[in-house]
Amino acid sequence: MGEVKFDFYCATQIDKSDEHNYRKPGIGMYKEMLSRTFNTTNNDNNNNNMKGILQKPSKMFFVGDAAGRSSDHSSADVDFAKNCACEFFTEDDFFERGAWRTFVATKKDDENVIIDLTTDVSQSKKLGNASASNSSSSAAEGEYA
Amino acid sequence: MLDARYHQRKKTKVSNLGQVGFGQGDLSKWHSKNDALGVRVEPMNALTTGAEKIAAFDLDGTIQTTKDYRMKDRPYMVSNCDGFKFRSPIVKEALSELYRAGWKIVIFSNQSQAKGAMNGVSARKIRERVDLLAAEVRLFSFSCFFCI
Repeated sequence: MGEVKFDFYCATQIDKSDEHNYRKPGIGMYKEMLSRTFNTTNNDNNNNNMKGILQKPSKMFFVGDAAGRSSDHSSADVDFAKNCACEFFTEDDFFERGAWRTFVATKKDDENVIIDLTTDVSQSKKLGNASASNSSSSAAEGEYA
Repeated sequence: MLDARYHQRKKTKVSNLGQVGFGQGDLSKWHSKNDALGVRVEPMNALTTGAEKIAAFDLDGTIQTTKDYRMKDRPYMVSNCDGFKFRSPIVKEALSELYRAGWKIVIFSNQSQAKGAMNGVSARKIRERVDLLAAEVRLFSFSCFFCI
Protein backbone atom coordinates (compact mmCIF):
# COMPACT_ATOMS: atom_id res chain seq x y z
CA MET A 1 0.00 0.00 0.00
CA GLY A 2 1.01 3.59 -0.23
CA GLU A 3 1.41 6.18 -2.87
CA VAL A 4 2.09 5.00 -6.38
CA LYS A 5 5.48 6.25 -7.50
CA PHE A 6 7.49 5.96 -10.65
CA ASP A 7 11.01 6.68 -11.82
CA PHE A 8 11.44 8.74 -14.97
CA TYR A 9 14.31 8.60 -17.45
CA CYS A 10 14.40 11.05 -20.30
CA ALA A 11 16.89 11.06 -23.18
CA THR A 12 17.16 14.57 -24.49
CA GLN A 13 19.38 14.89 -27.50
CA ILE A 14 18.99 13.71 -31.05
CA ASP A 15 22.70 14.30 -31.38
CA LYS A 16 24.57 11.52 -33.15
CA SER A 17 27.46 12.08 -30.80
CA ASP A 18 25.38 10.62 -27.97
CA GLU A 19 27.98 8.09 -26.90
CA HIS A 20 25.83 6.76 -24.10
CA ASN A 21 23.07 5.40 -26.33
CA TYR A 22 20.50 7.00 -24.08
CA ARG A 23 17.92 7.44 -26.79
CA LYS A 24 15.64 4.51 -27.50
CA PRO A 25 16.24 2.03 -29.10
CA GLY A 26 19.65 2.43 -27.41
CA ILE A 27 19.78 0.89 -23.96
CA GLY A 28 21.69 3.64 -22.14
CA MET A 29 18.62 4.61 -20.10
CA TYR A 30 18.01 0.97 -19.21
CA LYS A 31 21.59 0.60 -17.96
CA GLU A 32 21.32 3.80 -15.97
CA MET A 33 18.13 2.49 -14.37
CA LEU A 34 19.81 -0.81 -13.49
CA SER A 35 22.78 0.85 -11.86
CA ARG A 36 20.51 3.12 -9.83
CA THR A 37 18.12 0.34 -8.83
CA PHE A 38 20.77 -2.14 -7.79
CA ASN A 39 23.39 0.37 -6.64
CA THR A 40 25.95 -0.99 -9.05
CA THR A 41 28.28 0.88 -11.35
CA ASN A 42 28.54 -0.24 -14.93
CA ASN A 43 31.95 0.87 -16.08
CA ASP A 44 31.30 -0.26 -19.60
CA ASN A 45 28.43 2.12 -20.26
CA ASN A 46 29.49 3.44 -23.62
CA ASN A 47 28.22 0.61 -25.76
CA ASN A 48 24.86 -0.67 -26.79
CA ASN A 49 25.02 -4.25 -25.65
CA MET A 50 24.37 -6.04 -22.41
CA LYS A 51 28.05 -6.49 -21.60
CA GLY A 52 29.15 -5.27 -18.21
CA ILE A 53 25.70 -5.54 -16.67
CA LEU A 54 26.12 -6.99 -13.23
CA GLN A 55 22.57 -7.49 -12.08
CA LYS A 56 19.23 -7.64 -13.86
CA PRO A 57 15.66 -7.84 -12.64
CA SER A 58 14.20 -11.31 -12.86
CA LYS A 59 11.08 -10.00 -14.55
CA MET A 60 10.68 -6.99 -16.78
CA PHE A 61 8.40 -5.83 -19.56
CA PHE A 62 8.13 -2.65 -21.61
CA VAL A 63 5.01 -1.01 -22.98
CA GLY A 64 5.26 1.47 -25.85
CA ASP A 65 3.45 2.83 -28.86
CA ALA A 66 6.34 3.00 -31.35
CA ALA A 67 5.97 -0.61 -32.41
CA GLY A 68 6.57 -0.31 -36.14
CA ARG A 69 2.88 -0.62 -37.03
CA SER A 70 1.71 1.16 -40.14
CA SER A 71 0.39 4.14 -38.16
CA ASP A 72 3.40 4.35 -35.84
CA HIS A 73 6.08 7.00 -36.20
CA SER A 74 8.90 4.53 -35.56
CA SER A 75 9.76 1.16 -34.10
CA ALA A 76 11.99 2.59 -31.38
CA ASP A 77 9.98 1.08 -28.52
CA VAL A 78 9.82 -2.48 -29.82
CA ASP A 79 13.52 -2.34 -30.71
CA PHE A 80 14.31 -0.98 -27.25
CA ALA A 81 12.55 -3.94 -25.63
CA LYS A 82 14.43 -6.31 -27.92
CA ASN A 83 17.77 -4.73 -27.01
CA CYS A 84 16.93 -4.95 -23.30
CA ALA A 85 15.86 -8.57 -23.82
CA CYS A 86 12.50 -8.00 -22.17
CA GLU A 87 8.91 -8.65 -23.15
CA PHE A 88 7.16 -5.99 -25.25
CA PHE A 89 3.53 -4.91 -25.37
CA THR A 90 1.81 -2.28 -27.44
CA GLU A 91 -0.29 0.20 -25.49
CA ASP A 92 -3.48 -1.30 -26.96
CA ASP A 93 -2.60 -4.86 -25.96
CA PHE A 94 -1.43 -3.92 -22.51
CA PHE A 95 -4.14 -1.51 -21.38
CA GLU A 96 -7.22 -1.88 -23.58
CA ARG A 97 -6.98 -5.63 -24.23
CA GLY A 98 -6.10 -6.28 -20.61
CA ALA A 99 -2.63 -7.88 -20.79
CA TRP A 100 -1.72 -5.99 -17.60
CA ARG A 101 -4.03 -8.17 -15.56
CA THR A 102 -1.77 -11.18 -16.04
CA PHE A 103 1.00 -9.34 -14.17
CA VAL A 104 -1.18 -8.35 -11.26
CA ALA A 105 -2.59 -11.73 -10.29
CA THR A 106 -0.18 -13.44 -7.92
CA LYS A 107 0.15 -17.22 -7.67
CA LYS A 108 -1.75 -17.25 -4.44
CA ASP A 109 -4.59 -15.36 -6.02
CA ASP A 110 -4.62 -17.78 -8.93
CA GLU A 111 -4.90 -20.76 -6.60
CA ASN A 112 -7.67 -19.14 -4.66
CA VAL A 113 -9.49 -18.26 -7.83
CA ILE A 114 -9.22 -21.81 -9.13
CA ILE A 115 -10.40 -23.31 -5.85
CA ASP A 116 -13.28 -20.89 -5.67
CA LEU A 117 -14.23 -21.56 -9.25
CA THR A 118 -14.19 -25.34 -8.92
CA THR A 119 -16.28 -25.37 -5.77
CA ASP A 120 -18.63 -22.80 -7.18
CA VAL A 121 -18.89 -24.52 -10.51
CA SER A 122 -19.51 -27.96 -9.03
CA GLN A 123 -22.12 -26.56 -6.69
CA SER A 124 -23.75 -24.49 -9.30
CA LYS A 125 -23.70 -27.45 -11.68
CA LYS A 126 -25.59 -29.57 -9.21
CA LEU A 127 -27.95 -26.77 -8.40
CA GLY A 128 -28.20 -25.85 -12.04
CA ASN A 129 -28.98 -29.40 -13.10
CA ALA A 130 -31.49 -29.81 -10.36
CA SER A 131 -33.21 -26.55 -11.07
CA ALA A 132 -32.94 -27.10 -14.78
CA SER A 133 -34.58 -30.49 -14.58
CA ASN A 134 -37.17 -29.07 -12.24
CA SER A 135 -37.89 -26.11 -14.42
CA SER A 136 -37.92 -28.20 -17.58
CA SER A 137 -40.25 -30.69 -16.05
CA SER A 138 -42.43 -27.94 -14.72
CA ALA A 139 -42.25 -26.17 -18.03
CA ALA A 140 -43.12 -29.39 -19.75
CA GLU A 141 -45.96 -29.94 -17.36
CA GLY A 142 -47.05 -26.41 -17.95
CA GLU A 143 -46.99 -26.92 -21.68
CA TYR A 144 -48.94 -30.10 -21.61
CA ALA A 145 -51.35 -29.00 -18.92
CA MET B 1 -0.47 24.81 -3.72
CA LEU B 2 1.16 23.26 -6.74
CA ASP B 3 0.99 26.57 -8.57
CA ALA B 4 2.74 28.30 -5.71
CA ARG B 5 5.51 25.73 -5.76
CA TYR B 6 6.06 26.13 -9.49
CA HIS B 7 6.08 29.87 -9.11
CA GLN B 8 8.77 29.55 -6.51
CA ARG B 9 10.83 27.29 -8.72
CA LYS B 10 10.74 29.71 -11.58
CA LYS B 11 12.34 32.29 -9.36
CA THR B 12 15.37 30.09 -8.74
CA LYS B 13 18.34 31.00 -10.85
CA VAL B 14 19.09 28.21 -13.29
CA SER B 15 22.78 28.90 -13.53
CA ASN B 16 23.27 28.33 -9.82
CA LEU B 17 21.96 24.80 -10.01
CA GLY B 18 24.68 23.47 -12.27
CA GLN B 19 24.58 19.86 -13.37
CA VAL B 20 22.30 18.54 -10.71
CA GLY B 21 19.46 20.80 -11.62
CA PHE B 22 18.04 19.63 -14.95
CA GLY B 23 16.61 23.10 -14.99
CA GLN B 24 14.81 23.81 -11.77
CA GLY B 25 12.58 21.55 -9.76
CA ASP B 26 12.61 19.30 -6.80
CA LEU B 27 16.35 18.94 -6.47
CA SER B 28 16.10 15.83 -4.38
CA LYS B 29 14.41 14.04 -7.27
CA TRP B 30 15.85 15.43 -10.48
CA HIS B 31 19.32 14.40 -11.54
CA SER B 32 21.32 14.64 -14.70
CA LYS B 33 24.60 12.92 -15.34
CA ASN B 34 25.14 14.98 -18.46
CA ASP B 35 23.18 16.96 -21.01
CA ALA B 36 21.87 13.88 -22.76
CA LEU B 37 19.91 12.37 -19.88
CA GLY B 38 17.43 13.67 -17.33
CA VAL B 39 16.40 11.45 -14.45
CA ARG B 40 13.66 11.84 -11.89
CA VAL B 41 13.85 9.18 -9.20
CA GLU B 42 11.85 8.78 -6.04
CA PRO B 43 13.86 8.20 -2.90
CA MET B 44 14.52 4.49 -2.55
CA ASN B 45 12.17 2.60 -0.29
CA ALA B 46 11.67 -1.00 0.65
CA LEU B 47 9.45 -1.55 -2.37
CA THR B 48 11.87 -0.30 -4.99
CA THR B 49 15.34 -1.09 -3.69
CA GLY B 50 16.76 -3.94 -5.69
CA ALA B 51 13.36 -4.46 -7.30
CA GLU B 52 13.15 -7.82 -9.03
CA LYS B 53 10.08 -6.93 -11.07
CA ILE B 54 10.20 -3.89 -13.31
CA ALA B 55 7.26 -2.55 -15.29
CA ALA B 56 8.61 -0.10 -17.88
CA PHE B 57 6.57 2.28 -20.01
CA ASP B 58 6.91 4.84 -22.73
CA LEU B 59 5.38 8.22 -21.88
CA ASP B 60 4.02 9.92 -25.00
CA GLY B 61 1.09 8.05 -26.51
CA THR B 62 1.31 5.24 -23.98
CA ILE B 63 0.66 6.68 -20.55
CA GLN B 64 -0.30 10.17 -21.64
CA THR B 65 -1.85 11.72 -24.72
CA THR B 66 -2.28 15.35 -25.56
CA LYS B 67 -5.53 17.14 -24.74
CA ASP B 68 -5.42 19.32 -27.82
CA TYR B 69 -6.38 17.50 -31.02
CA ARG B 70 -5.05 20.41 -33.10
CA MET B 71 -1.53 19.43 -32.04
CA LYS B 72 -1.84 16.24 -34.08
CA ASP B 73 1.18 16.95 -36.27
CA ARG B 74 3.57 17.58 -33.43
CA PRO B 75 1.51 16.16 -30.61
CA TYR B 76 4.06 15.92 -27.84
CA MET B 77 5.93 19.17 -28.17
CA VAL B 78 5.46 20.62 -24.74
CA SER B 79 4.07 24.11 -24.90
CA ASN B 80 1.93 23.84 -21.82
CA CYS B 81 2.81 21.31 -19.18
CA ASP B 82 -0.88 20.97 -18.35
CA GLY B 83 -1.71 19.93 -21.93
CA PHE B 84 -1.60 16.20 -21.26
CA LYS B 85 -4.06 13.64 -19.98
CA PHE B 86 -3.99 9.95 -19.18
CA ARG B 87 -4.53 7.77 -22.21
CA SER B 88 -7.50 6.10 -20.56
CA PRO B 89 -8.81 5.36 -17.06
CA ILE B 90 -7.38 1.86 -17.44
CA VAL B 91 -3.86 3.35 -17.25
CA LYS B 92 -4.57 4.59 -13.74
CA GLU B 93 -6.02 1.26 -12.65
CA ALA B 94 -3.19 -0.73 -14.21
CA LEU B 95 -0.41 1.41 -12.72
CA SER B 96 -1.76 1.29 -9.19
CA GLU B 97 -2.52 -2.42 -9.35
CA LEU B 98 0.96 -3.19 -10.69
CA TYR B 99 2.50 -1.07 -7.96
CA ARG B 100 0.48 -2.89 -5.32
CA ALA B 101 1.60 -6.22 -6.76
CA GLY B 102 5.22 -5.20 -6.17
CA TRP B 103 6.24 -3.96 -9.62
CA LYS B 104 8.64 -1.04 -9.78
CA ILE B 105 7.27 1.40 -12.33
CA VAL B 106 9.75 3.07 -14.67
CA ILE B 107 9.16 5.44 -17.58
CA PHE B 108 11.65 5.68 -20.45
CA SER B 109 11.05 8.61 -22.77
CA ASN B 110 12.82 10.14 -25.75
CA GLN B 111 12.31 13.90 -25.67
CA SER B 112 13.78 15.15 -28.91
CA GLN B 113 12.75 18.73 -28.34
CA ALA B 114 15.29 19.17 -25.55
CA LYS B 115 18.23 19.18 -27.89
CA GLY B 116 20.40 21.68 -26.15
CA ALA B 117 21.52 22.13 -22.61
CA MET B 118 19.46 20.60 -19.87
CA ASN B 119 18.77 24.03 -18.48
CA GLY B 120 16.87 25.14 -21.57
CA VAL B 121 13.24 26.18 -21.70
CA SER B 122 11.94 22.86 -23.02
CA ALA B 123 13.88 20.92 -20.40
CA ARG B 124 12.15 22.98 -17.74
CA LYS B 125 8.76 22.34 -19.31
CA ILE B 126 9.34 18.60 -19.48
CA ARG B 127 10.33 18.60 -15.84
CA GLU B 128 7.24 20.53 -14.82
CA ARG B 129 5.11 18.16 -16.84
CA VAL B 130 6.57 15.08 -15.14
CA ASP B 131 6.32 16.64 -11.69
CA LEU B 132 2.66 17.24 -12.42
CA LEU B 133 2.21 13.64 -13.59
CA ALA B 134 3.86 12.38 -10.41
CA ALA B 135 1.49 14.47 -8.31
CA GLU B 136 -1.50 13.10 -10.24
CA VAL B 137 -0.29 9.52 -9.91
CA ARG B 138 0.09 10.00 -6.17
CA LEU B 139 -3.49 11.28 -5.96
CA PHE B 140 -5.18 8.54 -7.94
CA SER B 141 -3.40 5.89 -5.94
CA PHE B 142 -5.57 6.84 -3.02
CA SER B 143 -8.79 7.17 -4.98
CA CYS B 144 -8.25 3.76 -6.57
CA PHE B 145 -7.70 2.06 -3.25
CA PHE B 146 -10.94 3.43 -1.96
CA CYS B 147 -12.92 2.54 -5.06
CA ILE B 148 -12.02 -1.14 -5.00
